[in-house]
Amino acid sequence: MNTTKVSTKNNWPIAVGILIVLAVVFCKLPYWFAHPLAIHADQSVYLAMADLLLKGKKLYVDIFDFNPPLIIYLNTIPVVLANLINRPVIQVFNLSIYFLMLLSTTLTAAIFYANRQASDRYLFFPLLLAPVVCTQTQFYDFGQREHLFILLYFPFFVCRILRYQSGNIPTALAVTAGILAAIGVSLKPQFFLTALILEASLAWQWRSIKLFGSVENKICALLTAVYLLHFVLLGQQSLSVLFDQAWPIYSNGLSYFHIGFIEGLASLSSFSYPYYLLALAMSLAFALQGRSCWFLPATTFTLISLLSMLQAGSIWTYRGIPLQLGCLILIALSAGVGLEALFNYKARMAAPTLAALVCSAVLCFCQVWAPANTDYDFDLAQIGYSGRAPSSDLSLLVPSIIAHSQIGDRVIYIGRGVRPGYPSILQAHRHPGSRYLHGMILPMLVVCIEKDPSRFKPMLDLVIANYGQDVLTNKPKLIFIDDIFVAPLFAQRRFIEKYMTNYELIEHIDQAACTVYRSK
Amino acid sequence: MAAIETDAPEASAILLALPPLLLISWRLFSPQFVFAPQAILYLDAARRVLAGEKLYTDFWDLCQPALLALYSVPQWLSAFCDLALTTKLLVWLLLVASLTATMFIVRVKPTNAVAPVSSPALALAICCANLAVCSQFGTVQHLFMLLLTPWLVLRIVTCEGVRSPVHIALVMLAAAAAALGCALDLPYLAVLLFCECFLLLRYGAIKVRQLFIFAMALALIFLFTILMDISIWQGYFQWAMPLRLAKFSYFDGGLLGTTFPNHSNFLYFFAVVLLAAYYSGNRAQSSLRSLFAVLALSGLALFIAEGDGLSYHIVIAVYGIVFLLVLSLISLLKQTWQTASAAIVLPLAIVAITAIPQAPADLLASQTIDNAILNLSEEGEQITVIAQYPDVAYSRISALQRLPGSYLLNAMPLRLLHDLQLGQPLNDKQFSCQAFLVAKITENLASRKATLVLLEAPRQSELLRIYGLSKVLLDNYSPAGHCQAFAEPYGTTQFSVWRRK
Repeated sequence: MNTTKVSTKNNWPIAVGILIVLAVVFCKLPYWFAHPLAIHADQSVYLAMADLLLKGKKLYVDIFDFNPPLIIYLNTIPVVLANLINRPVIQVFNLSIYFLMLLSTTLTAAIFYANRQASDRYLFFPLLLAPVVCTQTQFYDFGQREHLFILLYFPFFVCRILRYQSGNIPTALAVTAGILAAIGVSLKPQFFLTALILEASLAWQWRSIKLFGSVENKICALLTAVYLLHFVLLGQQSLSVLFDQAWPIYSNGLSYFHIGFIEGLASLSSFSYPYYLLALAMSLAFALQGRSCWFLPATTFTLISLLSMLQAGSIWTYRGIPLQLGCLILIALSAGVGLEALFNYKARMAAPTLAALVCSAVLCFCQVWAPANTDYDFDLAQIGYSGRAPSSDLSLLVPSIIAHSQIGDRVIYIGRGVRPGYPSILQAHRHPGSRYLHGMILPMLVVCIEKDPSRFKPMLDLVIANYGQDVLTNKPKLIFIDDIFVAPLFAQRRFIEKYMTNYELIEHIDQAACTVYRSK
Repeated sequence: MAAIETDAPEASAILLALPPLLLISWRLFSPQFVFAPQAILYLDAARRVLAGEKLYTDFWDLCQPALLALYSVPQWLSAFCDLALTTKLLVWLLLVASLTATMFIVRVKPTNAVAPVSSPALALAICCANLAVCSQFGTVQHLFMLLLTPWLVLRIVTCEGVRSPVHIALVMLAAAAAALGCALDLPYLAVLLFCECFLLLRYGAIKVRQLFIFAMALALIFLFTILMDISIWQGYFQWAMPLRLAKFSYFDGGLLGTTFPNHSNFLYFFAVVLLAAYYSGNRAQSSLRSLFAVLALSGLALFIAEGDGLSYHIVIAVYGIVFLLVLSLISLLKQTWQTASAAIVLPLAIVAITAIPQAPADLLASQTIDNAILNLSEEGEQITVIAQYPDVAYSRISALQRLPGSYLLNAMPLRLLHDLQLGQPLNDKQFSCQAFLVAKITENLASRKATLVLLEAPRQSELLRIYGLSKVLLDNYSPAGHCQAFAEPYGTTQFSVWRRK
């Protein structure tokens, strides 16, 4: 890495940079304090699964899911903390993610500080902002696995590029980055693949494979291997469900959630957002190609993330978070190149640089600014805590759950997806009453049966029988059954007559298209 | 690749460009070739202009006045021969002119050692990009690309710095073509400015003289259309332009559940080509490639902003990305495959890559719109279409020698105004526009000029009911069944057919 002596007289840009980073880092903290029940479906269901795990339930046997278990393990941290300090687990979870962002930013800043004499140090402040801005723009997907991945992986990304630039990476920082990256890439197979492709890209760019054996890579590879090996400890029963049921159903039935590209465009503004960001960021990358060696790996990360998002084929917007980070990295690099030009007094670059900086500042401000909801009309005492929360954060089923059950009661929602069962059950401080915390398996099985009836029809019968068994064993206080998809499916198998004789129909919730049953 | 590295670049350019150009010509002039429905819609609008009808008075659409002026050329020439032939000739001549102008622009010798691009590579890229969008020939975005390409190449050649400047006549020609292209639709000027921003960032300076010529050309086009009829521009600025802008932030709920066309595969291709292009070649060699990458990206953003997924809205992105692919492949082959055979293999590979899948035969066979038109109307009679995605209906009406007689070429503005009204009260301009459109449609239906009315069902039927237009329809027309056509974005578009009482 080329190094130049930093002038000690010109410290004001560093001070301004630190202030900007701090402002962007902390600007949303009050929001999460003021919204103790703000959470979305997937994040809440994994918190409930973590709670079950801590209560000694067996993965995949007593807690069914399609994903690898690491996300459940990670969610045990906020669950334990919430129990210790008696605050809503949702709030502790959100603040944990915030803390993770701080950790990631601090680690990245430390790596940058160790390389403060690098020739391309002007890139560092804008780069530091990229994952922060990406985090601050998340509402629905705050704390999703993709979000965790970018926070956990970013210091490693920086570390690897600086390593190839012959930068100074203190061992402690490299080890920490390696540990975090190992957790990040283990969350989903495609994250591991992204990291692998990026590693190959770096080797290609510097025409060297010598740095494959760096300490952060060793740590990351070792921990990933340990995680893979831990599967053998899950037990025969869990593995059997995972490999013989969960993954075959997932691979054959996920198409139920696939939608056409046009439908995505017509459904959500957030579906189009990553594409606009991509157009801007990639244009900047092409315009400034060759100005910094960071552009190539950042472009690779961006486009691989785009491919990964396309592969998902759904409107699950969280799949676009790595793409958003890639784009923000490219925009940050462009701003950094502009800064460098500005501070080098290259007059011909001054005007476009200033324009780019102003645009970036406006963009950042627009991205992170979000009005806090000040209508605190929900008393947390109803769910066993002190304080108030905006009722607009509550999911559809919460009023019904609170009205018809007590704190700690078991509740089951049987529908086509995670929503609105979760986050409602968690927000109401109730517990899951079945191993199937979400009903995604039902429509997926229907799709699977169309492909291979002899293999999947017995599985559907088994799943419905398991639901019945859970009702008989766990005796949930409330059962919500989706009217459109599940009710006809269950009626064919006389589910209510077989397993719910002890339940009475109490209401229909039109908005959620479901019927509520309460134990007599 | 010997053909590319020969001492006679023009000869190589012809050699390389000839196979795809011949293929384009063969496709274009074959009797089976049918222009994209959007081109047919605007050709018919141009016919109405030449017949003395006025935009916003006698018919209504969100298009720019300059667009209809361009489509009027083949319509005017059709007095001498078949309209399809004159249109094909115009598109073909535009393509050849674009290619020739670009070749002349890159003939100047760059002062630096590394040329921005060789003319054979450029010729091949232009032809292959056109081949890739062959099914969308004559659409607005395609015409824009033909008009813009020489300007983009001129800008790169200029920014790279040439010893002998490009001849002023050529600069004026390229600027005029680009200005005309930008006048075709509202966002195209933004696409050009986006590309200019790229040049500014990349080179740190702009060549003001060329931009001044471009601005003058744009102003002249504007002035020319104003002089033709100022009331058209009043209608445009007062009503059409605000609605066109509003459309970019509009989500059409009617598209929920639609699956055709699925552009995901194109996006995979797009991402891979961008990645490959970024990896191939250094900064000095890749200026033109980068510019076309930026063009493709702005085309993608525009496609997303249009929000309806229609194939004629993705032409800029396809054109840009295929252009980029060809230049990147040539760069790669030059480094790795030094044989003349590449000159033959490459065009063939591009042809294979850019083959556009056609509509499934079973869906095309299920069309019943032709039967409805043939059985219920005579040649030369008028047919009114009330549809949000009406292109296919115009295509069939034109093919069956009937005349469109709709007031509103596309019912999108009516839907847009209705949906905007659901969110918040309309402003004065929007309200007056809505009232004007409803009155004109009522007048159109009451005049009973059209033999048939094709009403997109069920969404437009519902819209007519909301606007109170059902009564005038029922008073003057009687239901005559239903028909369907294979079309984007629904896959199958249903029409209810109404016959004049």
